[in-house]
Amino acid sequence: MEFLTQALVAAVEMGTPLLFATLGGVISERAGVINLGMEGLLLVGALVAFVTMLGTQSYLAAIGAAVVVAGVVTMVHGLVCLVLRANQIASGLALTLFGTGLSGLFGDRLIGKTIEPLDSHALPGLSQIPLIGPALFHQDVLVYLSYGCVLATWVVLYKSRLGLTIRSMGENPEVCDTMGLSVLGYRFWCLVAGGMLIGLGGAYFSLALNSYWVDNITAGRGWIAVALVIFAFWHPLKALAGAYLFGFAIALELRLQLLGIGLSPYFLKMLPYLLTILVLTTVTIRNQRRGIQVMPAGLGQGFVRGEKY
Amino acid sequence: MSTASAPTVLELREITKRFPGVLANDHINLDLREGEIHTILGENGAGKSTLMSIIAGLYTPDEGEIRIRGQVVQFSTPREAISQGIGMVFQHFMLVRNHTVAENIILGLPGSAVLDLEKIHQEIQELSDRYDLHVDPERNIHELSVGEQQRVEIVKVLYRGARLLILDEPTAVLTPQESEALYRIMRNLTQQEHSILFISHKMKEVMALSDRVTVLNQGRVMATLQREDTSPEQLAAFMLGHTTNPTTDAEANELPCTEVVEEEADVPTAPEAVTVNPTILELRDVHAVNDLGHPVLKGISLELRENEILGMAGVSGNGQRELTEVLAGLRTYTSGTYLFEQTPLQRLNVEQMINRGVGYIPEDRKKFGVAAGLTIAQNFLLRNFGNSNFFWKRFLINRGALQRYGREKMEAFDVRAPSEKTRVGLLSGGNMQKVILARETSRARRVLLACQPTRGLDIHATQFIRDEIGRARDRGLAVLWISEDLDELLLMADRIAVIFDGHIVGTLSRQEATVEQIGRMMTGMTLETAVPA
Repeated sequence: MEFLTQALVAAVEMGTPLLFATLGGVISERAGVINLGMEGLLLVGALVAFVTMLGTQSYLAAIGAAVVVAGVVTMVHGLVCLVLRANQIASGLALTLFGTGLSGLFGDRLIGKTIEPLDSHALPGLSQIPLIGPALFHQDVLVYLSYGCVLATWVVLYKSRLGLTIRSMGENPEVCDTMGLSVLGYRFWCLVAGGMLIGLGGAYFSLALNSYWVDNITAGRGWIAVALVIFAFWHPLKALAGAYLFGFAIALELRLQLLGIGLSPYFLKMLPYLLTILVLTTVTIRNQRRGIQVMPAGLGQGFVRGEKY
Repeated sequence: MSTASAPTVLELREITKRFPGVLANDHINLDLREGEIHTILGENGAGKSTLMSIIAGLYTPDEGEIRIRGQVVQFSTPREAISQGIGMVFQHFMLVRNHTVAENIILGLPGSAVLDLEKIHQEIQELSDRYDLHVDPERNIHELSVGEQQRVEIVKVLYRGARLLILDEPTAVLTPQESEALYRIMRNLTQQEHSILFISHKMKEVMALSDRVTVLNQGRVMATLQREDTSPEQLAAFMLGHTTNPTTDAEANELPCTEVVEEEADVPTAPEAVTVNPTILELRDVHAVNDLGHPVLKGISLELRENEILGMAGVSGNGQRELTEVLAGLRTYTSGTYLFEQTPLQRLNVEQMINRGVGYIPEDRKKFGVAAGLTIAQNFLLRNFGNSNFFWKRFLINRGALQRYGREKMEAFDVRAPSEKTRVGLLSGGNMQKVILARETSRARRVLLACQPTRGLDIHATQFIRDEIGRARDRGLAVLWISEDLDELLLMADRIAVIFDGHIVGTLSRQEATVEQIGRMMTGMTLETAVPA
């Protein structure tokens, strides 16, 4: 019981950065833009948050800086793949490589420095619920913020006029164009908003999960988030479930290592990624069998108003 | 119902639009009156679509001005055109398939941040009732038939307050019955003081519906005529760029327009077959599934006979594409029998069918018919890799031989392009189709599968393709000709089979078939019930 409660607390902690990143991915992919730069943006967010925290000792400044810088970096991706219409995949991968390089370059000098990680606050009453109480309601502010982000994303995407436009951008940009909506504008700002959320996820690594800087602090979790967007069927509420499932897998891996189970630590480290492949395969097969089309139909397609010959 | 005294709602003055190398619109003058159906007639490439896109705000003209109720307007985005009451119903529907009717209709409109769907549903319902459009706001687009989707498009522009509707070849995708329903809607709209710019090249509906007709040719206005003062023959002549009045028989005979040619019998039409030709290919109770795994062919039985064209009528999406894919060896069938010259074929593959002498003209010519990035000559290699003339030592491509062959075929099939080294993707639809036809008919010895071979082509190209397929039949090929143009099938086919929901509803000889009867069968009525009492 104690083990499970602790594992669940860790699952939510590990799942939170995944959740931010997945939500960011959902927003931009709903608008039709693929962002494979998630891993890079997480690293940029983590680095900026850590450096700002060292300099200012203010969590708010650190979080704000991570969000803004991640947003600005995402704009480069948007400029390249939306304005200049380069390949979205290639541009996203370049963003990841950039983020990895940047965090390695500046992170080198940060090794050994420490900061005070975010405190947990128990929500009175709610945190007393057995098993899930401590996991969900005895956490730091960023976790609570992530709940708000899930809810806000869901309401905006599925209940609002703006959300209808965003989802239509991802389904059929040509229709939106004939309706007089700026495909480029909506797609660009959705991509940037998504990038900012991913930056927030990055900040979580350095402000909450760690108290000191380690190289490659995100450990490839950005790639899990890329898969989670698909696993969540591009839906914010399902993103929540998916992020915690993977958070649990990561938490379990750490716990099992501590318990000294006679399995190679490398095998345990592999588990979340194995789960990623497994889940993607089964989800895809199931959807194909049922003939469900959940992926935004215009995902990854560049858009130019056609002038035919 | 004369609209001659009605106020002018739209005026185009000297509209000119250039694309690189093309003068798409050349000083076009046009006006539209309130409550009028004004038809724009012209071949493909005459500049109709460009002109409509300018009116709808998608393109800005290089010269000229647009006036709406006397006021000069300039549209730099479609939104500005919409705000001036102009609504365009595109030929290819502009609908988000995964969203509901209501979501599609309100897309892009200003209003409360949070959607009040109940109120929106009610508004759409009222609009739908007022114009008799029968649209259910809560259904998903992908559940709707083509005719229903088109009505959603009409509601969409009306909901935005459109007074001027542009309908771009609206009946091209409809059954005859759905077209009739659309005509009623159009008349209903004009009675309620809406104006309609109607693009069509079906002469019958142009003559039945229009108040006035403007004919475009090569980007210029040839004439604007009152419907009462003109005739299909005259309109067709203007469409082809003849400025003289073609009242003499000699000239009328030259017009390669279906509606006109129907009466004249000097194109290669089907011979009066009395004896039954030997069967080359036969399907018995064949079933197959589509890409999503749903049943799409539900027991098809048919025969393709030597020296005969079997026409296949039907609204697209009733299994035609999958049927030709099975016949061409691209798609496996789940049950039934496929006999090729009395030999049952079990495991289908494309190479085997090519070697048996089957030619295939796919429906989507750009995607499946050609490799757009390769040259014309190189495209003759496709589906012809076994031809040793094109290779040295069966391995290296013999460029000289291939290009020589390409030149010969371009000449023989009247492919208009700078050279055989031109990339196929740069060709117009008609020339692209000629390349495909040249490749397939040159190789095929037994069977030709032609899926919508003339769709979207202009009159010249259409006529060429029809003649060429007719000649292939005369050489003894068994031809399957799938088309949505019933006039074309009645003109070219020896027998006509009607497909609906994966079944062959019935097969008629050309002599006994009529447009009305086929039209009814296309909605699923069997031969017996489709015969008018």
